[in-house]
Amino acid sequence: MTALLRFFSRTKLCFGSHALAHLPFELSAMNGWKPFVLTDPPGKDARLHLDMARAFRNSDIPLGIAALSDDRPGACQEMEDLYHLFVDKGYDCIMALGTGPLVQTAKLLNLTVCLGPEILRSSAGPEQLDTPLLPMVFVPTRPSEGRETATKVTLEGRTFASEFLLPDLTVIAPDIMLGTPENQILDAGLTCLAVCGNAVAFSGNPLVRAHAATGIRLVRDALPYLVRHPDPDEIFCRKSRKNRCRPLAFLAHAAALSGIIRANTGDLTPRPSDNLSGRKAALALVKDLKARKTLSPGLSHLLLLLTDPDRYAASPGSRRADAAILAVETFIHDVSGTLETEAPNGDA
Amino acid sequence: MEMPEYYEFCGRVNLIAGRDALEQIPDLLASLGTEHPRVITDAGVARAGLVDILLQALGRRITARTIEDAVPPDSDLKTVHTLARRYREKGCNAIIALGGGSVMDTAKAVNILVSESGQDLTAFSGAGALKHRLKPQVAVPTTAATGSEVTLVAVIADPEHGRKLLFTSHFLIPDAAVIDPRMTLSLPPHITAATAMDALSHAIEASICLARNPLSTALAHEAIDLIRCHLLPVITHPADPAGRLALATAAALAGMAFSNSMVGMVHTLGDSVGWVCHVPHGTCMAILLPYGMAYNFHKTQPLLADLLLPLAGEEIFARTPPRDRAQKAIDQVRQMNRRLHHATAGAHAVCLRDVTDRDGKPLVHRHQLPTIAKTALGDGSIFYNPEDLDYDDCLMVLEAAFQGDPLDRSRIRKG
Repeated sequence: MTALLRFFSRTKLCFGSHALAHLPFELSAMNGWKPFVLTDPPGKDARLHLDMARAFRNSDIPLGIAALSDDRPGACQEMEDLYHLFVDKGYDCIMALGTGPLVQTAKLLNLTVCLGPEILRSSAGPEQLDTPLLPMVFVPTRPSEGRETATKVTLEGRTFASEFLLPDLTVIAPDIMLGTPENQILDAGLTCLAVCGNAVAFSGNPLVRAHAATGIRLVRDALPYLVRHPDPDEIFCRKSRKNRCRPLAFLAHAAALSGIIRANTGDLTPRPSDNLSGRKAALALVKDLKARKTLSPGLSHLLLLLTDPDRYAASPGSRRADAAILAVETFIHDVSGTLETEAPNGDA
Repeated sequence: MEMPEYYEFCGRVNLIAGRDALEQIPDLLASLGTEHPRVITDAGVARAGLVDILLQALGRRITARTIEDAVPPDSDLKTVHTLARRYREKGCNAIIALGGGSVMDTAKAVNILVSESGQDLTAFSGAGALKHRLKPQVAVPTTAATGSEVTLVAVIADPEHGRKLLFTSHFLIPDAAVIDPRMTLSLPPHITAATAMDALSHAIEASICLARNPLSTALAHEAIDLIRCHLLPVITHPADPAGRLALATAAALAGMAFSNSMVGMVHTLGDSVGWVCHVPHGTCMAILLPYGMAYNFHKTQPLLADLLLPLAGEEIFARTPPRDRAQKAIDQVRQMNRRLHHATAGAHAVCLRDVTDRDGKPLVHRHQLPTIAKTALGDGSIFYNPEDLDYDDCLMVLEAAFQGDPLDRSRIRKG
């Protein structure tokens, strides 16, 4: 164990079928009675805001829904507009229906509402905030790299850090998972593998390891299926869509866990996946595992997580660490086929 | 990976564990915007000098407005109402709970009353009655057992009506749990054994009960691994702070696990034995745990097989054939009980008939088993057990646990 162990996750996770139906109850428990829903263009095109509205149909909670115009994080003017809309209409909590930049916008909006619009014009440096913010809910609609459940957000070069930037609630509903380009799926899955693999291998924090172990299992079960069943045309077939939605939700779940791990891995140095993503992050993991094999107390556990108990048991104890690295390499190769062609130096 | 159709997980507590972790409390309280906490504890904790250690760690920045050490082992409504009144009188703005499960539960209940400006605690019993964030609360456990420092539950006795009131809400999860090995160093070996087995029962039941989920299971496995590595060494070397820290952390992990997945028949029966015969909770859990695993064997064999790795370690797991792993996991728990029995010079009982009070008088009598079985049927955790249980089933398990005989699995009616 680490000398001083710390772990904190504000984020409650809800995963599963019809998870959206729980939102009115969850919001009211957070004292959220008038949510402002932000969605992105893919979410709007797929009319997911209607699914959201349906979840609130029998509640007394009115929804305000804003579809953002593009995928970029909010610029100052856009934030000002959202801020005035939020304040004028008297909303009291924020829901981000989407992933990536949308969630950054939601976090910035939360900061702007709670700290005042002047933060948009200030040019101060990085800020560590300790002020509670408004309740925030994150509803991913596709797999991501998990930065939504991390504790930082950037606005035009300024970084804000706060545990209160973690969403209060992350709702992962397979029913609303969108069709996602294959390269994005691969990037998301491999990024999660890198973050979680690094944590299992090197973290002395049992809470981090538990989250990471779950993340790896989710990636292990979902990513190969999604890679082998790309067929985007079939997405419109109800059965095929259902078959893909659940593994997509698994990856979104793993991404949420990755963010929580990122926010709690202060005991890991270096953290190679911090600034890398996708295949580069996964290859950096392999390189790191090989370089620090003898320093990794949890490396053999990776073999169990990526394969199965029988293969784990069949591997002699002295060779389990090597077998674990091989399992990671094999997994990356199976899903992306790049290991032989790309140098695992992390700067590819 | 087994994945439920739907599950929730909430571990919204700032967990800090380590040497001198208590010294982090002033910063924690400052970040929560408070500097006048009230310390709630019990007389035993105060006598052991743990309050003094806490106050020293708080230093000059934080002034504890009052120190209440009147929490009884089974806290009740009267205690809660009295403490809530004093909290208001003293103008406190936070609570530090220093103690075991009863102190934690009392502090949570007091927090309900002072945060909701309520006069009647019973109005908030049940699930989801709380709608608002409570006053800042920091939990400092002095046993490595209940995991109350990270759970969303509080249980308070209502002796007037002969019942226990259950309070469940995410708002009951303390803001911070501070685990410092100094707080458990003085626990005697048999209590260390019983409390660690209590934590083990939380972890094992969390990973096999009906409401299990993958995150709870992963936390439970980490907790089991810590208990396996550190319990017996700590019994032999009680002053080992690293081992103490590991056990207390394991208890918190197990608490977080079962708080998000519930428990099963070990708690169903164990709580009833405690209620009827006044046997310490951890002792009940330790004795009944292998019976609960055996009773559910046919419904949970793959899950039990997975438990062998954290329960026995890599090498035993690797050399045990897959078909034998589940049974081996049960055997490991039995073996752990036997080793603790020897290591504590018999103070750690392995069957119900051997449980005695301080004077050596038996606490559980055979004629009480039917009453215990009837009481068990009213326990909520029965619904989360993988296999159904009725009165006869409860009695069958209790009789085996009374004698210390292995459970005859051929008598289990498979539902």
